[in-house]
Amino acid sequence: MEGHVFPRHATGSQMKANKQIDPAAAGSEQGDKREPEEATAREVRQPAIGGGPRKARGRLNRTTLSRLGKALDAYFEVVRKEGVPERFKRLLDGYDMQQALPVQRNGGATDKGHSL
Amino acid sequence: MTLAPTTKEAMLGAIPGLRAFAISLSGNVERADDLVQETLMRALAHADSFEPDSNMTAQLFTILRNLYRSEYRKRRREVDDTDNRYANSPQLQPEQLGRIDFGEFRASLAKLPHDQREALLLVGASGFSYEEAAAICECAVGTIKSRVNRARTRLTDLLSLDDGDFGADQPAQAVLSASHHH
Repeated sequence: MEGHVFPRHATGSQMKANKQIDPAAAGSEQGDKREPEEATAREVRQPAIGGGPRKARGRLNRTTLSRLGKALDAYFEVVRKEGVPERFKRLLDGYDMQQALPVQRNGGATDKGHSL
Repeated sequence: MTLAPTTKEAMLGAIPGLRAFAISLSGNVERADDLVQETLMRALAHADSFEPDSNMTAQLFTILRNLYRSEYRKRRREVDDTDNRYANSPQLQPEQLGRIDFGEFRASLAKLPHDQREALLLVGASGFSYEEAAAICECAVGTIKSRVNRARTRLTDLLSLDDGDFGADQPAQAVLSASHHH
């Protein structure tokens, strides 16, 4: 067993020493290495996630929701009132006629050859 | 095989809502009508597979939504050609929208992110449940709820609709101001 070399692991004191270095690396040293744009983007993003004068979400009161609902209804109602334009009625009627024609040609014997 | 009367009826019944949804999504009536036509043609191509109990309207909305999304990706870089056909619609009386201007409402709706707008239109205007809207948008129910909530909040901000959590609405304010005078 004398010739066998075990992989070297850090001792307890070495690990502590490493730990002491880590915060510095994560903080000022790494911070210094960052691109200015990266730092700025993080700072800009931060208020959107947490603090800042942001309004609480999901706090709409019933009156507001009701107004919004009525507005949406009214917005859609303008189009709904127009009903079904002729082009769409013709499309559906045309489909029926197209489907019916081959059956008549074949005397209604078979549905083969129907295409959409 | 001709269309079953119930299928045809369901399709016809869904068209006004489909058009409204398509116009709201695309902002252009011509493009919206083309989308509806394409939707109907695709639905007709599979008409024989429709089950009587299935929700035809939801299926049509799903087709339209998918068509729009694939078209939207293609047109992303094109200039917005939103038309104003309904902007000055005489059918829309001011009292219908309360103090909201129709054009302002339309512009605000267009400012919403695409996902939020479609969720709000499906749940808030087309009458679908959260579950149905989630099926149409192929996402989780929670996602739809979140999108609708964010869309409502954003729209409220854009339209300055919110009078505050405990704010009174217009009739209530009128009553309050009248009581002050007495």
